[in-house]
Amino acid sequence: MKILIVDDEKTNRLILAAYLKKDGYTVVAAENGLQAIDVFLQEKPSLILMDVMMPVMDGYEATKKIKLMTTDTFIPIIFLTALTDEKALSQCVEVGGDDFLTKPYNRTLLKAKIDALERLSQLYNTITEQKRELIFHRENEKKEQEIARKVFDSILNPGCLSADNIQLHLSPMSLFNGDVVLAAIKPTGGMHVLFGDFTGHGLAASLGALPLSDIFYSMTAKGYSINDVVREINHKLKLQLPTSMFLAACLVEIDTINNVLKYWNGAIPAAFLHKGDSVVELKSYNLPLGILGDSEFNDKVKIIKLHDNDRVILSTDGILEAENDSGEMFGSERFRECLNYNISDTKTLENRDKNDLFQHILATLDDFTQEQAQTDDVTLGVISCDIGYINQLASQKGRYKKFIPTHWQFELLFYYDAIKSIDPIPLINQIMGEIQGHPIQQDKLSMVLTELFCNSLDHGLLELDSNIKATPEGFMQFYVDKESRLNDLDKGFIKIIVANEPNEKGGELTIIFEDSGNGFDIEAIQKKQALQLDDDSIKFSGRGIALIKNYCTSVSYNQSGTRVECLYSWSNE
Amino acid sequence: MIIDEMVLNDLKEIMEDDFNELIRIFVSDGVEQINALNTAINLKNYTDTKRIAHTLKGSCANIGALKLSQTCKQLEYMITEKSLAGVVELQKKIALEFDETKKCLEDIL
Repeated sequence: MKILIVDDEKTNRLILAAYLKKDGYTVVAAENGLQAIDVFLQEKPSLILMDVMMPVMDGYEATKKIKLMTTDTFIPIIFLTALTDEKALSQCVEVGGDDFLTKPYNRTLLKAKIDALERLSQLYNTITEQKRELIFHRENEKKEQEIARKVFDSILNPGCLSADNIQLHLSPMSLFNGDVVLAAIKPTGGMHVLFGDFTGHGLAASLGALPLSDIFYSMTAKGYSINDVVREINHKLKLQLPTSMFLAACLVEIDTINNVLKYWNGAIPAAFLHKGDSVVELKSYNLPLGILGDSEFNDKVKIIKLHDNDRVILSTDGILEAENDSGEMFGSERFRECLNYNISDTKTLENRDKNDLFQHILATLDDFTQEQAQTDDVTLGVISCDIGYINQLASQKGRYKKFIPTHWQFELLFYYDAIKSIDPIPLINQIMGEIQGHPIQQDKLSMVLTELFCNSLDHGLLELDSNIKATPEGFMQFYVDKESRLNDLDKGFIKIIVANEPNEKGGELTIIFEDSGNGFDIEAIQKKQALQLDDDSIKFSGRGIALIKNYCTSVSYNQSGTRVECLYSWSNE
Repeated sequence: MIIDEMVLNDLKEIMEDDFNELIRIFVSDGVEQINALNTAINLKNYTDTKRIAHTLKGSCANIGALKLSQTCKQLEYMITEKSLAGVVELQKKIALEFDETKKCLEDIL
């Protein structure tokens, strides 16, 4: 540690320097305040011993100047003084001195003071360093959230949150408080709304929004009811999120066919239905999502009769926990109280702005918190159950997405190396879905396609004999053989052609699989099938023909057994 | 007592080889300070007078020249209190005592 001694008196400097060198310090010296500043800048000592009365510039002045130069580091200054009057000592403190040492010097005391200040300065510098780090990390976090928000904005489906019957107070950064709001129109009419609040804060709390919105939008689009949606969300979140993370959520379905409100609430504290002259609480009867397993989970929804322009009010706990100056929380009683508000004059959307429940709640909150609470934490939604308007949205959506079966055909050709690395069945399904703008009912079709592909590959290209599958050992051997033959495959192809002939409900697919193998004796197999249906020794695992025949309207092979053509009827109802 | 030998012995122990140098500097600096003090008093510059008395008081205390240190302290106090009547008398006393101290130190060395 380097110490600067500032004293005009030579013997003082000599004696102090001798003391300090004995204790292992490096010593530099200056004769007056002005010189002290020069030496300080050059030598960068970590502690200064400063005399008060000196010619040219006194110790007060020098201390003031040095302290001004060192606002972000702590350089302790000890005044050396024979002064004893209080005024002079207090001036030492005023100009920024950290301690005094009175003359004549006591070596033990000097050492103790230096040690104490050295500890203090280490502490100060550590804290300053940590503060700098903290600021850096906070800014970094902000930047990261900003980036994450942009990514989320482009990934997350906006649904129908901008519909005219939805009023929403939702901060762009709400995802990082764990708040999620989703809304979508059902293809059959009606609207689904989800208000969710993930545990935790920051980026971690926002990640669950991705699987959540995927499930919500895709299942709503397929026409599922909220009890199915909520069950699937619970299943996925339980599977995908860490155990400490879960989602408080309220799902609401405005059913415009039966004029009812269906809701499922798991731990959302502020959910209400405002019926003009009365308010019904949409109580939580469930645990948050992502906690219970499928068998314990209860997807039962509550049902309330709806009237035109009833309002659903949903909020996460940010509003209830909003505090005023004296640390008092807004709380559920105040929230409930401000819903006792006459909206009978505002039956129609056009009149809504004049006397608005949504604005009334926010204004009440502002009054309470003196306008401090309109922060990122407050998420509030008021959804007007305007049946006519919601039906109109559904029909617009329906027209856009109208499903019309069309004429098409495609051909895929996979050579031996491609066959090793690709499963063509999902690809075929996807192509058909893309062409029709709508997924085609797939489970049976997928089984047929899978069976056809296995036949072409196993028996056509790999020349495996499925008769050996009759015994358990043979069954295992079959798959061992399959793997090694597939690995060694160095020639051949499988060609797949799918064509659609549309009709009113869907269409008839012509599916052709052709392979470059040696084919098989189609007649022999058919004979066996006709004669020995009950004979266990010949299973039709052979060519899976039974299954294919069951689902297809016709199945035919060419003479050499290298090409199979099936007709498959489908409809999308 | 002109010199406190205990102080001087402690100093000797700490300063080791630099001790003689310290004493030499005390004497030569002391001569300069006495001259500066005389000039200041003659010019009635009491700000400088006080500062020099203060400094001399400190360096005397350092080497155990307690008698001279006391006299310097008296002068400093006198000027602080603005009772300037005895300044010239103290000035002479300081000069005398400095010579005494110097002799005493030379004897010890």
